[in-house]
Amino acid sequence: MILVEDLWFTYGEDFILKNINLEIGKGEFIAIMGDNGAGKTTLVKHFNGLLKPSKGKVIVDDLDTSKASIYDLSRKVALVFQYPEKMFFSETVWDEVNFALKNFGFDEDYRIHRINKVLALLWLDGLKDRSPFTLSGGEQRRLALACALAWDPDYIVLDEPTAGQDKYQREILTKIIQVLVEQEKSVIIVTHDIEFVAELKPRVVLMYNGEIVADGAAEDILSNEKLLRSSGLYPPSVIDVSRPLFDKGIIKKPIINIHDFIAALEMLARG
Amino acid sequence: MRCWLEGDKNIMLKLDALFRYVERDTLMHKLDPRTKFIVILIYSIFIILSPSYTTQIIIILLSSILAISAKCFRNMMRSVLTVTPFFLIILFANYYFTRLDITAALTPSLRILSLVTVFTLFFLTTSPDDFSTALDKSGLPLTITLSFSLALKFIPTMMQQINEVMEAQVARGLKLDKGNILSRIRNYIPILIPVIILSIKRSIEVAEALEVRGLDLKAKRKPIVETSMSWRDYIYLALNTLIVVLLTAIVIYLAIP
Repeated sequence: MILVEDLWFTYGEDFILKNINLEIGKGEFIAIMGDNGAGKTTLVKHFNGLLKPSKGKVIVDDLDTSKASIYDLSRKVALVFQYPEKMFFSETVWDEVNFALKNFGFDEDYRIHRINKVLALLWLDGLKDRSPFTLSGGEQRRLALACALAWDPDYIVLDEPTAGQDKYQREILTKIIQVLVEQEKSVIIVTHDIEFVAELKPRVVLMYNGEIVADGAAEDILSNEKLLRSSGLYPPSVIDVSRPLFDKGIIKKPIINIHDFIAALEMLARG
Repeated sequence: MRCWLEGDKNIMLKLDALFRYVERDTLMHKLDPRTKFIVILIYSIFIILSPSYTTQIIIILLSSILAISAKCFRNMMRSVLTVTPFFLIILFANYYFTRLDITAALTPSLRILSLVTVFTLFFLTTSPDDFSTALDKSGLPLTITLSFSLALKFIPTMMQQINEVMEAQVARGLKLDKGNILSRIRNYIPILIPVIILSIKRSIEVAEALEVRGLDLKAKRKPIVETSMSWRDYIYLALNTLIVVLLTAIVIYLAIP
């Protein structure tokens, strides 16, 4: 469990995070949303100790992040930064995934087992001996994800996983995240991609200007246009259709993604 | 770096503010960049050639006084603190390997420190824009002056980039302070390679951006801001030349250590 208690953070002048209280349970799927500069990335950097609280505390399982080392925390919390493909340096895909496993001191058999498993999970089986730099954009993004999943962390934090990805790659990402959630990993995505979140329907934590302004189910928050707009976000496009239908009493609740909308229409058609 | 890893309040972020220009309204800031540049050149030559550590200390004191007058003493101290480890390494290496007395080891190590103070003073008091204007006027080819001023402008970006890569690799379990000296150097490979690749990519991007915006390296250019040498500049130049001449005389005739 990641427990954030009364967290304040500053680089010196203004507070970038103000009074953050958050509890992320094991196996929970959560999206931290907000406009640029809302403090999303700053918050998740506290989870593996890259940043230390100026005030308050962050506790991961039984480790206090202000005392534990980044190394020990990273073993539990994998943090995948925005555009992680920028950080590749190995000659082959295999070595790239192997890097973290070697760092965490796993023995060779386990490493081989994990690399094969993780490459298969991310649809990268055939690319073992390729150079990471010759992969396509989507493959690179998945490889970066593979690198983080390799050591089997309990918490996976993805910072803007969909940034710069096309629709096809986003669908693959959606499926991968669903698999991770099924495996009862805690998945934390940091994003302002509202359609992506509407598709996955996790618990949503909405941030604005360094504060948490809302915390709840995706259906409640993403259908609240006023709240979203005041936090610098736009509601998902399906809301434009489902909101009038809801207001007229045709459907029971505002629907946030296209699949649910189609299902609701089917229900209506069947009577 | 070690203290950064131990989580000691984000040292890297301070690093990127190290040589950054500090906007103030003082005499030092008003001087023509060319004057300041010539002065640091004169000092650098003297610092490198002078065998006397006393003169190095005098120069450090002088630039500290100037930094105080330019209201950026604190920033200067910050960069002095950053190079202190190098200073100590050079000091002890010289003392250990040569087995001369400690005063002889002081000269090369103080040389680093005085060079740093002189250059820091320049960068803290000269805005990058003024500096590139001054370079343009110096008559050097545009390719040289442009790449030099671009390089200067990209120092903060570069620092931030290094910081980002470090954070990403540390999050993948990289331990920078593991093993003996050789493997510690090897630990930096996962940071160096991405940083080099990103820098090359960025330099290509910057070149393309400049070209699409119509940069013509052969065209004759006229600066937007006219800089001119005033009486202040000549006095500053003359004073500093005098100081260096005096110091040289002291070193040659008095032969102080």
